Amino acid sequence: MRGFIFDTNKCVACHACVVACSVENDLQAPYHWRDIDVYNEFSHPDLAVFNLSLACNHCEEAECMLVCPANAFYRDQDSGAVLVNQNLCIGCKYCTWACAYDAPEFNQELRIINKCNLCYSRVNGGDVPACANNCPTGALAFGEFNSLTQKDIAKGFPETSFKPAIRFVENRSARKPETHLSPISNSIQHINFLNEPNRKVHLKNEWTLLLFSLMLPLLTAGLTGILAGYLFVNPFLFGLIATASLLVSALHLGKPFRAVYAMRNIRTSWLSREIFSYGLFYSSALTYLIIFPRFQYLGILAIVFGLICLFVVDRVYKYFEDGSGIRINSSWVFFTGLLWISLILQEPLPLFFVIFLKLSLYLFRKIKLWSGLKIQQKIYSFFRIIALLTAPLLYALDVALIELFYPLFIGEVIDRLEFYSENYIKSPSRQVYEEVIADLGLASNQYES
Amino acid sequence: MKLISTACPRNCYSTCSFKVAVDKGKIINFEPHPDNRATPEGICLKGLSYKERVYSKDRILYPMEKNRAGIFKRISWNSALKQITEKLEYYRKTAGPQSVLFYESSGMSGLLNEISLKFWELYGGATTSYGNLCWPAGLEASRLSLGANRHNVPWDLENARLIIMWGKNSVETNIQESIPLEKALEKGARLVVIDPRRTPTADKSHLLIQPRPGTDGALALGIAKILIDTGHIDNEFISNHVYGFEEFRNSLSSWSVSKVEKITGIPSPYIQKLASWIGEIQPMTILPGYGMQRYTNGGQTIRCLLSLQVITGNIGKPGACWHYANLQSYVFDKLLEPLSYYPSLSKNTPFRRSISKAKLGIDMLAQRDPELKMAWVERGNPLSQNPDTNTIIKAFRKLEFIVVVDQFMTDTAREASIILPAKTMFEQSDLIGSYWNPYVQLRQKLIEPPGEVKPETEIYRLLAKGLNFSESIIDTHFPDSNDKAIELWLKTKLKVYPDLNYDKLKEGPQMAPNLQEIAFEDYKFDTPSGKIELYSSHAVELWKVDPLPDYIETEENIQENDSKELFYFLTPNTKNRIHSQFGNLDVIKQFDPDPVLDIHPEEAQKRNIKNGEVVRVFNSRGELRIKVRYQLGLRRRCVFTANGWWISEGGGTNLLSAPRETDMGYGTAFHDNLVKIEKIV
Repeated sequence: MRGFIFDTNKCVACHACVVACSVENDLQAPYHWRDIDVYNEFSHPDLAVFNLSLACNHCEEAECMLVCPANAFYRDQDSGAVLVNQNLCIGCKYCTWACAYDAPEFNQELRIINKCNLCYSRVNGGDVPACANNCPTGALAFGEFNSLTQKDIAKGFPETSFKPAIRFVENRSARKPETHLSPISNSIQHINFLNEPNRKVHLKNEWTLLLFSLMLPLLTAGLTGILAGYLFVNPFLFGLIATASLLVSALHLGKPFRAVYAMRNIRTSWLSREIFSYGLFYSSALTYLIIFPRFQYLGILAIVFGLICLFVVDRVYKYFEDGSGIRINSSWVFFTGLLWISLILQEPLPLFFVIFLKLSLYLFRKIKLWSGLKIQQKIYSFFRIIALLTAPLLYALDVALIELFYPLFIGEVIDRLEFYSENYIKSPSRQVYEEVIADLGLASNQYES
Repeated sequence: MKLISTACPRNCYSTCSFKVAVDKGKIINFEPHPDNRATPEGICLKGLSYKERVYSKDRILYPMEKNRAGIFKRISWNSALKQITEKLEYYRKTAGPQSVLFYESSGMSGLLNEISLKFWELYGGATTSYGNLCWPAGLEASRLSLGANRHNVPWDLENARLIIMWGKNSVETNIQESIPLEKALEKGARLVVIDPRRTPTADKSHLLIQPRPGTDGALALGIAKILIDTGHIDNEFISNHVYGFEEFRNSLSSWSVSKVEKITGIPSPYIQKLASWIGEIQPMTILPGYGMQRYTNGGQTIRCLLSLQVITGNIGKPGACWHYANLQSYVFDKLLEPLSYYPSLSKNTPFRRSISKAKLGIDMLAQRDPELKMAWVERGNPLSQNPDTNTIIKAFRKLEFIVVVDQFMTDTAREASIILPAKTMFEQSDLIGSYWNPYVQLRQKLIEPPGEVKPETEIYRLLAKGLNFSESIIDTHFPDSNDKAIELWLKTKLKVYPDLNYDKLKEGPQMAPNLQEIAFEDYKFDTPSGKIELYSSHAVELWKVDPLPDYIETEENIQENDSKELFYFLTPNTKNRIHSQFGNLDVIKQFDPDPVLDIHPEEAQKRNIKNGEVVRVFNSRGELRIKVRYQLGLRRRCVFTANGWWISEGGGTNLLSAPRETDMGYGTAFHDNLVKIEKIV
């Protein structure tokens, strides 16, 4: 097997690899396909400083390839390079979430994904990629792997199941120089100098997804209510809202007119499945409501599709992490769907079970992350918790179940907003950041003892 | 597509060889040149940025004239040359040729640069500038001690067992030196870095010593004292090759570890440890940087450091080397640096009047009989790179007419009356040497100059015609700019060295004739005594300094009882620029978008300054507004920002530096520079 071979001892973060790549592939700054992450770039005296130069690792089991809804990724068989078909990419950026190595890059001008192509034409011609060809210190190479001298992992390198085609020469120089400067005083908290890396998820970029994920549980529950005879909605209004939800989520794409390509990869892409299952829900629900309102089995089928879609949506977000350590989130739309369905069916037992579940998950997360929250985040959390607690309280006070919708809905909106603003996705800079924090914790414990 | 060999002419240690892929007259890509043993793996990001630099939308491609509203408009070469010729004739007639300042700097190396000076000589003279902004104090110190500036070939560093990067951040300023450095470390060598900053080079080291800036000489003398007291010196080497050891030893009687600790701020155990490593680990190579000698005590500091190399006998052997500057490839220069930096002593030459590069602004203003009326600037950006920018701006604005030859709209170009477009390294062939690797190299012409760019040789040839120089003079001194004529001119230079063949140079770097791979391996020293001179009477005669290496405080310094508001302002170089070049390119800006000031968070928090906040950095000479970045590896009471930012980019570190010369060599002491830092309210 062959690929990039990186020697941390030799890398000096000179950025020549990054520029060599840009020259070879005609990339205009600020776009670049290779990046350098510096561990401890603010030079904390307790830690070494070292660098990682990473581009695409052309993984054997490339996650980007598996998750692309448009099946736009393909592998150049000779070089092994993972490439993007620019005519198929819909610009959904889902691969930028899936890749823990931050290889795919969304190009704002082209509105599609670009990424390292391993300089495959060079490689197929017997040469090495431009970055490895021009590393001034010889830190970055390309060639056959040797398990005797090289390792699969390195400090700061995110571990995944993707089988990345990169090997590392063990870091001999990851030691800190002995120095005599007086130690950092306790008044300096690392929050003061440690800048959090890009989380990859930002509410302002993902508002279309937020709207969609708020609407889908309501639509599913709404349909349930109509079917059960608890709710009377103009079928065309329902259709309008369902169509708007679909269109809004298409706005999220770099290439909205290629939206139909999003169903090209149902076999392995949760995103493709989401769009497909929403399509099934949408068409069956509208057919039932507008054409065959008396054909109730069709309505039930639509609800089943809605529930499947809700389940699938939560899978789409599997790359999100909030730092709490558990991978179940209180704002998962499947739970929210169940919440609204039990509310509209006026079934207190399942309703309070879902509320209890959401509350436990929410409290667990907040308690874990409390110290790192900003004051306004704490206030929002407070409202969220009140919203969940109010429901059983009001019920005990004989308020009609359906009236609980309003406080609950506010709480759900808060939770989902937090979902997009508090979560982050694995990346090399994140990995380095987290390891620095962990290593500093370790170091300060040592000082105390 | 063709792959053509060339070499980088920047003022940089590495002087890399590389190959350029050219297709249909355009630069496409770059390839490493493995024939250069010092730079075989590849060039740095700046070299790779040449593709943008050559074809940049911001490049000046036509002569430009500043109109009354202060806006530059394109003009024809005819109009530009006519105006310049008229001014030159007018000033020569009315005020004399010395009313014109000819200012050049280190923007691009090459033998053809001498044609510029020839033109001004034939014009009747001009006011020129002496000294240098970079390294003369250290060159002079090394020359006084060793007789010449030579060091071992770069790849010999891997033979050293103890490597001391003394004020040198090679990882950024000499990237390819990382190759032999890493090889040495792999073989178990120890690396010591001495620097107030924890630089990327320090991150590779075993021991980092962070002295108070400007006190390196004291540290060296203290260690010398320990080495002598403990007998860790090479007596045989000293008696055979060293002059003045007894005097040196006696002069150290007042030194003690506690005195060094007090001066440098380095705790005694660390001084002891460094001394024991120097005493016990052989062979040792000290690599002094050029920053330390840009203080008012710079030359003497370098002599102090060099004494450690000498008394331990670490000269003339593999792995044992004083690695300051290697001028062995400067084979075409009649007068080597630092002697070429001396001002002319003769009263009757065309260049009888020369002003200090270090004091450019005040010297320009001080000239009388005649006053300066016009300036011609090429290969330099004095507004950003010479000390005391505010005075320089004043001096430039007092002039009546300014011509600047440049590729981009630098701070200096903005002051011009007329800007002439300058060639890049790919648009005319030339021969270059290196002050680090041992090669003579041909910087080959690869493409035609774009737009209306003309090489300086052509500009001067046209001016010579305009000024009615005789045809025979023009033909003798100003080669036509066609490729054949330039090649012929260069081949004439090569005649002296039969081993240097033009066709071979077209293929790649050639070893300098008479190269000593291990410098001073013959133990011949071109000093008055023929030995290494610890005691130098020349030092006294030329510079009125102590004949022995000694330590005196820098002119601007912070003592324990001084105001807590003062900081040492450290302004070294970065990997992202060569002085004020490259920073304007998008490819560089993506890594280094704006100036930042590194400060220790404890110092910042005392002043309630947050990470990322813009602060005011100031002293009596000027001020800067700059964004703060917390850096925990920095010595307290020091702040750091890289030099070379243009004022128009918010940088301009020389707005704060003082116009002072170093103690020897006519260097520039801009590192004697204290500032205060203030929160902007």
